[in-house]
Amino acid sequence: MKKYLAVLKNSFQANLIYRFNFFFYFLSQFISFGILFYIWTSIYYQGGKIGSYELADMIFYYLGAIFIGVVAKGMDVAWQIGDEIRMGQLNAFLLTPINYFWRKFFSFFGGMVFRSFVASLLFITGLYFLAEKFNFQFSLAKISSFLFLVFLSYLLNWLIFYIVGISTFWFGFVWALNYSVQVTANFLEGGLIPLDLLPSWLNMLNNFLPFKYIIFVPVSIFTGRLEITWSIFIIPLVWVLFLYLLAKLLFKVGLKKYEGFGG
Amino acid sequence: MENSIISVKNLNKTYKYSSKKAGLFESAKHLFRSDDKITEAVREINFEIGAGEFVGFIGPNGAGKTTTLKMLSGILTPTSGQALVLGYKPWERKAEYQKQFALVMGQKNQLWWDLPPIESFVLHREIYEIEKSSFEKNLEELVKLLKVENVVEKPVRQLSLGERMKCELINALLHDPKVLFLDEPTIGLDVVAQKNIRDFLIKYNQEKKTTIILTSHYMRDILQLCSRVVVINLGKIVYDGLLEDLTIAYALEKIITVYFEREVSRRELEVFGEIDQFDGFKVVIKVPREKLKETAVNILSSNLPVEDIDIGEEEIEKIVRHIFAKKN
Amino acid sequence: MKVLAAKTKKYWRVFLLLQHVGLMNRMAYRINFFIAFFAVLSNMVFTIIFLRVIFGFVNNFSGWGYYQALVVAATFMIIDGLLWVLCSYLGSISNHIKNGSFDRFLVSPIDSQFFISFWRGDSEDSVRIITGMALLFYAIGHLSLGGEVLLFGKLFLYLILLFNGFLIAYSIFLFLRTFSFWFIDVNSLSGLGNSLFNAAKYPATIFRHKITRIIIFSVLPLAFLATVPAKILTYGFDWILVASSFLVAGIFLWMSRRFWLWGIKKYTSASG
Repeated sequence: MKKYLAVLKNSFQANLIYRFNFFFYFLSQFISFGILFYIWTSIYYQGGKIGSYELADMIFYYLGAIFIGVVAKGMDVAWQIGDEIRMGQLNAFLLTPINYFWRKFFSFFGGMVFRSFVASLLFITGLYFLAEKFNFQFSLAKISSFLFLVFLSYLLNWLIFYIVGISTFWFGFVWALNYSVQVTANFLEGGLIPLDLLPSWLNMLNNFLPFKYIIFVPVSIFTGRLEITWSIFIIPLVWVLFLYLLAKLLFKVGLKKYEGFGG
Repeated sequence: MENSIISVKNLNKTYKYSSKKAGLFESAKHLFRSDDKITEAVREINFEIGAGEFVGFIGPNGAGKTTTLKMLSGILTPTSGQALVLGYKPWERKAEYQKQFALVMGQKNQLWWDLPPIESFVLHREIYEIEKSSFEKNLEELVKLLKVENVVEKPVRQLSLGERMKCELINALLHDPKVLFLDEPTIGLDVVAQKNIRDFLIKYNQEKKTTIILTSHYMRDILQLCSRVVVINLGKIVYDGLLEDLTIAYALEKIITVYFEREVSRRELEVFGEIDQFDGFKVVIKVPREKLKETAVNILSSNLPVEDIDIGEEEIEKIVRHIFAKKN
Repeated sequence: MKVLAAKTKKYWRVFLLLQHVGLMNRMAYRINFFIAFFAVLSNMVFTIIFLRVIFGFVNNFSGWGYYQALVVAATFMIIDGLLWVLCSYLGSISNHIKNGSFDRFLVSPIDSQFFISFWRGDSEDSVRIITGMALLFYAIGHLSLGGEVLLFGKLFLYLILLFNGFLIAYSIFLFLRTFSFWFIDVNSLSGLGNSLFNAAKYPATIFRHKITRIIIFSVLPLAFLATVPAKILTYGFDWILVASSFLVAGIFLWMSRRFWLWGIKKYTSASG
């Protein structure tokens, strides 16, 4: 366990060193939010509703979506892992007595914790400004469910992109798949537009995928749009377990292929 | 000297870098400020090199050899001082100058990794505006000299390190440069590849009369290739002259390393020369150059259970120490 | 004059060669081509879905109609495609500086900015341009923009303005990437640039506040990327916008080049 803590500390430290990275990343998220703000205020220029969303609902939705985006997606998991495999740096990792999967997991975990601190501050600030325009009932149940779901979002996203990263064993180069999955996942998660505004056939398909639990469901729980039931937690947990097993399996298979090249 | 191709006066290069201590707390402090430290990489160096000379720059790692070459090829601007190569100030990076020299750095690839070298050669031709006929002539000659006919059509990533280096050399020489800068060209290569490249360079220098500066920290490179050697240490030139004079003046010795099948006693070995290292199964002996052949023959024809024998030069760091010792 | 012609010829030939080499390089990874195509296609599809959903509820997006908004998006895609095809290499500058392989761009007798901008020809990414153009013609087909001659004239002007937009985008990316000379890791700075760049996909009229309006038309001229060409094409000629497009493109090209040359100067006198 101690060695994993060391990895964690290292990644936390590494985050401090890249000071500009950190600053610019948050700035770019802020700008993304700003642009969404402009887009939706333009659309709502004459007031009214889009689906069941009023302007304030929409703004809040995206605030939540960006918060989750920062916490769960702030690092390019697939790119790093894919690069390590492509450059043959895997050998060094395989020789150490630390399991590759967990080592990677903890090395990214530190970054997530770090980002969550800052993101939470900004999120709460945003909430403060919006709460006035907005009938929002804060409840402990909603907030704790939300936080737990955000943590699950992180796990789901991490696992998905871990799998994308190890696809390098077969494709040699992760960029294309990574980009495709990022764009598609973002859409299916409700990151581009709230899922309940999309046609029902799309939503039906989406029920068979884990994506909606990454952004849409947590945010909707927080706003009270969705009710808190057991399935809200069980289903993503099942997905986490499934993806974890899949990841382990694929890594094993891929490693055999990798070793076939003599490394 | 007016005929110098390369003329360097009082050249200086100083770097600044920020130092950072380890630790979580130090990292947090570093968020807000950085400490600047200064390194002098090259200090007041002077030398002249004439046309067709093959000069070796030798010195320990970090001595300033690569920095000097980078200044002469225009990659770095000196902090102060002058340098002229073929009448040009290198760091102005004028195209007319760039077309007349070539730079090859060991372990750095100029060639496209996934494609055959020939593709890189064609690109090189366009960039250097080489005429078609002279390009084809040069290419044919160089490929033949370096014996890489079968290699130039294969992707670079499939080539061995030696083959890659040969292709890098071809790439550099296609435009018939008047001056060639080689930075550690044999580093990492196996013995055979090193020899091939050395033989090629000797021949090329003789035929084309190209002025060549070669840097290395292997004495062997310098011995075989250069008549003149410049020794650099900590940014300063500590010796500039003929190689023979260096070996004579500083009484450079040869190093014989002998490996034994079974343990021998130190006493048995003392008769051959000064023992530098000994551990029972291996001995490193220093002998004056005149006595090399005699000593080696004596060792091999003795009763000692010799398994292997290796003959080499003193390390450059030791040579530098000799030079300092003699000066003081 | 002859020298200029020879030089132009040389640069053009090197450019074509780099595109050719780039394509051969990419052929080395076949399957990624299809995945990348899917990525480009899905990006376009999602943008269209977004606009469709919006227009399902309103019929006015900041003063733009559905097909006009599609023209903006298509213009953006074409510019994005041009950037990818011609100068995607700008993204690797910091890697080269880190590995020390940047020196080649200083030693070769060819302009460093040209060489590094076009070093990797990515002709495969022309699929982005093609999808963008397909979307463009689909959208135009639903708008009445005049008879053949008028339409042809408008398209011609549109393409020129689009090219200006490309030059502006190129200049901004070059400018951001020039920071690689001072900071080893410019990825997050570029990430910032990307967020801003993606805003150009939507009509610039969404920026209602006076201050942001001014910024979008001057300091950070996102408006001139997709919105202005689209506006000229779909809403009619406006000589102020057209003249400004050229002016802004010229200024940005000049500024980014100066900054690049300054960056080289600093790099060669400082680093190791």
